[in-house]
Amino acid sequence: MNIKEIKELIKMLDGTDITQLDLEMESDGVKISIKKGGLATQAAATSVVAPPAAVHAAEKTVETAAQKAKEINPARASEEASENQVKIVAPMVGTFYRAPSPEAEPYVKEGDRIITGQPLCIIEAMKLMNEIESEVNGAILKVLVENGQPVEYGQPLFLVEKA
Amino acid sequence: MDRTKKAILELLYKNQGEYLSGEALACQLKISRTAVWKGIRILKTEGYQIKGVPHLGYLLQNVPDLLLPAEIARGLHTQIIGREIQHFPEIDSTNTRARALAKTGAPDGTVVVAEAQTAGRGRRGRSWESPPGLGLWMTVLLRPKVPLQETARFTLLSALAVVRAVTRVCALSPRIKWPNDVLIGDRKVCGILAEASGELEMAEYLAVGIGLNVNQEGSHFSPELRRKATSLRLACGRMVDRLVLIRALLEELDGLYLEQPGFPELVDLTRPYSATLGARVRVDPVGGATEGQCLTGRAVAITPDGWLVIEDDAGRRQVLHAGDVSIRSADGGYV
Repeated sequence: MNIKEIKELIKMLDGTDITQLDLEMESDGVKISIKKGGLATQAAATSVVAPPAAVHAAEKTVETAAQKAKEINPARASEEASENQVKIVAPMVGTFYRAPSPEAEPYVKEGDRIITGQPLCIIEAMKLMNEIESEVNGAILKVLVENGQPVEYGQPLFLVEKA
Repeated sequence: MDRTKKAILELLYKNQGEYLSGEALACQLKISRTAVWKGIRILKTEGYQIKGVPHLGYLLQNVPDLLLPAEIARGLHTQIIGREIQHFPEIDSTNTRARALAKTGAPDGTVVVAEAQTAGRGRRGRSWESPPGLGLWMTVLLRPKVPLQETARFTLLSALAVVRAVTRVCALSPRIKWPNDVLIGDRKVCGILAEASGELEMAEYLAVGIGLNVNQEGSHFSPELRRKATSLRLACGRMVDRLVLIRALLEELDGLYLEQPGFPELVDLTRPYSATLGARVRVDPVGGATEGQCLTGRAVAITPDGWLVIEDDAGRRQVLHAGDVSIRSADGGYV
């Protein structure tokens, strides 16, 4: 694990209620133990509204870390799959919208070509509509989240074939 | 011509109550008499009442009740917000215009203000009633140097600025419905629609749309809004000077924008004004779920990240980052 990955991990844990994290890197995988305290642990899972993000961020960490050491941060995880395929991930917790307004056409559909700077979706957090722009040129292979669904930090939104 | 017009207006203001001759104007501004005459004519078409008497000169009699940039700028004490103001008698949406301006490089703090909006927007395709001359329908363009995920705090910041400005100008006690509606009593007086754009690492711009009901009477609201909305005039029983109000608002915004308090600090600053904390609330989930799936409970906390914590009747807690949270009012309805 290098400095950059450690930094990423710290950034990810920021704002969660994780109070202790032990990580042991071994040749055959990763051993991880997490202590949590405070509010979000009580936030059980009635699923009407957006799920408590802190809990999910923590679960995410466990899951990815357990899989493979190099997948510890979402940015890295998103660079998986084939050389040319990238996942565009959510930069924040919020609600995912595919179109600028309910009546409007989606920003992008599967098969669409996209260019850097082109808006792909909106993520709403606390009534702020964040228009997420593409950072790559390529084509949308798959839209991974349904319209109106809550998304977590680092959650893949689009699978893109880079040009 | 714009500069000449402003300069003439400045001199007329300085000599309010007295006639100022065309010759004196021309001489002081080092322009021709024709240029003075043209400038006066433009000011008149904008709504300024200027009396011209042969051999005496010009007298400023009345200023239009419009949010003209020159009027807003008079006595405005800000460093960033409102250094550039664009005014429209009528526009589709100030947010739409501000975003177009952002794309062409408009500076941090640019303000777009309109007397009326024909397609004023609320959240997710809802409309916002913006009748001519009765409110502040405006958008402030911000270019904070923050990553996209931190932009949400600027909506809190804007709500706080509105609360401070309204308190200062009208001596009312507005409150904030989480995260950024402003209420007086249990009626909505101001809505904020913020739209940001950028790549993951850095926000390119943030357009903060503010719709503040100022001088409407009850009959100005559509029937469906009458029970839920109010204006400053209805709340304080007198007409409110929109110029004084917009200056106060831009100044409060400017102060907060220069400070740029972090999330925990902002949450602390807004908490005393919260209408949501401690109230019975109903959460309408995003994604168009049906009525039966609404969550009801009590709002028990706002986290340092600005998220709302709801406790349902079984004592289970949930953390919300979005969604429509309505407050149950005294009459049992939800606002």
